[in-house]
Amino acid sequence: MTPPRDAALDLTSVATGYLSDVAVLEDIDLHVEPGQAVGVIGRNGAGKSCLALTIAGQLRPQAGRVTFGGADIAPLSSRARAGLGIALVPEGRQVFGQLTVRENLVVAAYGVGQRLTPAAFDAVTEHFPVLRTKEADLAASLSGGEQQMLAIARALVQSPRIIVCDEPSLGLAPVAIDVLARVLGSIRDSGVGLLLMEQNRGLLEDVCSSVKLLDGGGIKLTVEPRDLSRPEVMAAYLGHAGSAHAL
Amino acid sequence: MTLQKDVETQESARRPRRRLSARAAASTGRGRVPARLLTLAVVAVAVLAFGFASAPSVRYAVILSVIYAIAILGNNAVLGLLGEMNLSGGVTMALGAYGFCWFSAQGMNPALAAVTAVLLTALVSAVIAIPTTRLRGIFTALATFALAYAIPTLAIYLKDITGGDEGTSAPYDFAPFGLELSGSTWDMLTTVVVIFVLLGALSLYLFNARPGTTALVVGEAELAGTTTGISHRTVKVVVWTWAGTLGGIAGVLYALAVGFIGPTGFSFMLGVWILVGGVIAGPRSVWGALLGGLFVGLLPVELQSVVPPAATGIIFGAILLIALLAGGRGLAEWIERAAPKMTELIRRRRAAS
Amino acid sequence: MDLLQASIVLGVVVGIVYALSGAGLVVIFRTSGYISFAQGDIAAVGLFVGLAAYKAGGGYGLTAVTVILVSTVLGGLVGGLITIPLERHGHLPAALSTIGVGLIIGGILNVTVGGDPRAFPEVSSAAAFDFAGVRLGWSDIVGMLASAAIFIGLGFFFRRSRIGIAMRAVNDNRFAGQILGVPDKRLKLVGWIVAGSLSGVLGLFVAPILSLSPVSVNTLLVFGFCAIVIGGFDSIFGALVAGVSIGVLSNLTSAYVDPNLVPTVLWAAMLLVLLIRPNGLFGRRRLVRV
Ligand SMILES: Nc1ncnc2c1ncn2[C@@H]1O[C@H](COP(=O)(O)OP(=O)(O)O)[C@@H](O)[C@H]1O
Ligand SMILES: [Mg+2]
Repeated sequence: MTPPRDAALDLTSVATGYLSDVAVLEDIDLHVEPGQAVGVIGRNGAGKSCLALTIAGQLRPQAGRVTFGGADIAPLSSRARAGLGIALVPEGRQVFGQLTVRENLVVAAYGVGQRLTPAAFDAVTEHFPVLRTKEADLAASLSGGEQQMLAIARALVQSPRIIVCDEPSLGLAPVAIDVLARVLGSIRDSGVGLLLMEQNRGLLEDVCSSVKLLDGGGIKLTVEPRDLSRPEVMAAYLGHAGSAHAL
Repeated sequence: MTLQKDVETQESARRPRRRLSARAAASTGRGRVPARLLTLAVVAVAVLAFGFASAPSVRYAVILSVIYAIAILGNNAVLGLLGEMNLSGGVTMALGAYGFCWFSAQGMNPALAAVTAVLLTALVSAVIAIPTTRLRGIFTALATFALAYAIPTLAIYLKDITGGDEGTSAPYDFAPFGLELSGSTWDMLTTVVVIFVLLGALSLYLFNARPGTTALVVGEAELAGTTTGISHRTVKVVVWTWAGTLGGIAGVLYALAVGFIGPTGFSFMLGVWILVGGVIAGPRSVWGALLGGLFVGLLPVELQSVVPPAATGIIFGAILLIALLAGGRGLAEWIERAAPKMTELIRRRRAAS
Repeated sequence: MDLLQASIVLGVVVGIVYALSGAGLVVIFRTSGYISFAQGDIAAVGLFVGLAAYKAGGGYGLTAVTVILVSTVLGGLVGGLITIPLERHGHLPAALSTIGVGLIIGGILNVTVGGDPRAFPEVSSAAAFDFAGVRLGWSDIVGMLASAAIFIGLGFFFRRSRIGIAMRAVNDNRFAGQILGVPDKRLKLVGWIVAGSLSGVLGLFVAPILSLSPVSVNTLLVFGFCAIVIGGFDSIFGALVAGVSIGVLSNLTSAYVDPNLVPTVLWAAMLLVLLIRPNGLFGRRRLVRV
C-alpha cells in the first residue's frame, strides 16, 4: 500500500495565529510526504499546537499556502481535510470519554464516511493490543498512555496519508513513551507521513528523519535528530528564556 | 458620566491594581460601586417620578414592576453568578405572600407576620436548594419548573391555609409609620422603590465583597468543570437562599399591593417572567433588575393598547431572542458599554463645534 | 381493590406516554447537552394543523401523519435556525432561547386559534379487552405499543447506529468530533428533528386525553422533566422506567389522596431521587479522569 507520491503536505510561507489579526507563527515552510516522519520541537507556547490546528483546518492561515498533493486546501474545513487523508491527533488526547473504545473508533470512521468493519478494527488494533482487550470500556477509564493509543488509533481508522501528532508524549510514563515510539515508527514504515510536534527529544530521535526547531514565531533551524543533543542546537532550543528543565 | 470618570481615576490612583478594566467592569458587573449606586438612585428616582405622574392604573403596574424587580434581583444572583436557571422565583413569591396572609390571619401583628413570612421563605428555599443544586447548571431548571408548576394546585390542596380556589386576603389595616400600603397608593410606590434600592445597594455591596467573589468563582469553576478549594454546594445553597429571601420579600409586598391573592396569580409563568426579565435586562446588573421588572410588569400593560393581550407572549419571546442573539448579557450591560462611547462622541462633537 | 388495580394498570398505560415526552428531551440532551422547553409548543402547532386536516375530511391516518410531519419540520426549524446557532454563546442562552420560542409559538396560537380547549380525535374509541379487571381501549393499546417501539428504536439508535454514536460523541467532545470530520451541526439538527417528531407522536396520544389547547402538551413537559431527572439524563431506558413509575404514582395519589397533589408529589419524588442518586436511577456518573 504505497500512497501516490503526490500526497505530500506542503506549507509555503505560512503565517497563522489563534486570532485573525495576531500572528503566532510567520513564514513557515514545511514538507511532509508519505512514509516520512518530520519532527517539530519547541518550548511551551512556541506555537506547535497552533501549527497543528492550522494544518487540521481549525485555524485559518493569515498568509501563505497550505497544499496537499499539490492542491490548495486552505479553504477546506476540518471535515474535508479528514476526508482527504490528513488526520490530527490533538494535544491532550481528546478522546470521547463517555464512549467505549470501540465507539470512539466507530465515530472516527464515520467522520470520513466509512464503517468500522471487523477487518479495519483488527488492522488498527494490531498496533495496540491493549485496545482490543478494553474494546468495551469507557475511554475515560483508560490510563493516559492507553488514551493516547486510542487517539492515534482513531486517526489510523481514517486511513490517513498524513498524521499530525501534537505532543503525544505529554504526561506519559517513560515506558509508555517507548511503546509510543515503536508504534509511531511502524506507522511511518507502513507509508503514512508523520508530523510530530514534541518537546520530548528521545521520541523525535527515535522516529523522525529531520527535526524543525520552532522558536520566536518561526522555524529557526532544521537539524538531523541526532544533532538535537549538540550544544549549539540546545542553546537555540532553550533560547533567551532558556531553562534546563525544558528538555 | 464625568462624575464616574473622576471617581474612577481617584480609585485607580489609590489602588491601581484592584481596579477592573472598563470592559471587565461592564461584563462582570463588578467594580465602580459609587457610579453604580448613583445609576441605581437615578433610575429609582425616575421610576418614582414616572409612577407619581401616572394614572392610578399605570402606577399600580409600576408598583408591581418594582415588586417583580425585587424578585428578579434575587434570581439574577443565581443566573448571573452561578449560571444556573431558576424558575421558582414565583414559588418564593407565593410562599412569602401566602405566609404573610396566613400569619396575619392568625392574629399576628402584620409587621411581625411579614418578617416571619420572609424568614420562612428563606428557610424553605435553603431546604429545597439542597437537593435542587445537585443538578448542574441549566438543569436546575427542570426541578424548579416542576415545583413552579405544582404551586397553583398545591395552593388549592392546602385550602385551609391558602383559601383554596377562592384565595385569601392580605391584612387591609396594615399602616406602619402611617403609610397606606395597598393598591396603587403613593405610599406603596415609595415603599417598594425604597426597599428595592436598599436591597440593590446591599447586593452591590455583597457582589463586590467576598461573598460575590466566591459565588462568581464557583459559577465559573462549574462551567469549566474544575474544582476549587471552596465547597460548591454550600455556596450554591447560600445564593439560592438569597434569591428565595428576595422572592419572599417580593411576595409580601405583592400581597399588600394586590390585597387579595389566589392560585392563579402564581402560575409557573410567573417564574418564567422573573427569569426572562433578568435575562433581557442583564443578569449582572442591579439597576438592570429594575429594568427587567418594568419589562415584566409594565410592558404588557402598555402593549395592550397596541396588540391583543394574548399576543404579548410573542413580543416577549421576540425580545428575549433578540437579547440572546446579542450575546445574552442583557440590555443593562449593553448600555453600560455604549454609554462611555456615547459620551465620548458627544464630547468630540462639542469640541468640534 | 378495583380502584387500586385500575390506578396501577392505567398508570402504566399513561406512564409510557410520559416516558415518551422524556425521551424527546433526552434526544436533544444527548446531542446538544441542554433541554428544550419548546417541545410542547412545537407539538401543539402540529396538532392544530392536524386538527384542521381532520376537520377538512382527512381520516385519522392523514391527521396523524400531518401532526408528525409539521412538528418534525418545526422542530428542525427551531433547532437549526435559532437554538443551535445560539450555542456559540453557551448552553444557557441556547436553553433560554427555547423558552423564547415557546412564548412566541404560544402567543401565535393564542391569537390565531384561541385558548379554548377542543376535542381531538383518537385512533379508535372502541374497547379492546379487559386486563386485570380494567377495560383498556384500542387507543391505549396502540399508544403503548407505539411508545414501546419508539423506545426500543431509540435505544438501538443511540447504542448501535453510527449516527447515534456520533451524536453522543459530539456532545461528549465537540472539538474532537470536528477534528475527526464529524458534521456536528448536522447531527444536532438531526437530534432536533427526531425530537420534533417525537413530540408530535406524544401530542397524538395526549391531545385526546387532555383535549387540545395551546398549553395542553406543555403540561406533559413537566412529566417528561420528572421522567428524565428520575430516570437519569442519558438513559432512554431510565426514562421508560421512570415514566411508568410516575404514571402509577400519580394515579395512586390522585385516587387515594387528591388530584391536586399530583404535581407536588412528582416534584417531591424528583427531589428525593436527587438526594439519594444525584444522577438519577439509571444515569451513569460521568467518568472523569485526568
Ligand atoms: N486559544 C488561544 N487564543 C489566543 N492565543 C493563544 C491561544 N492558545 C495559545 N495562545 C498563544 O499562542 C501561542 C502559541 O501557543 P501554542 O500553539 O499552544 O504553543 P505550544 O503548543 O507550542 O505550546 C502562545 O503564545 C499562547 O499564549
Ligand atoms: Mg501545545
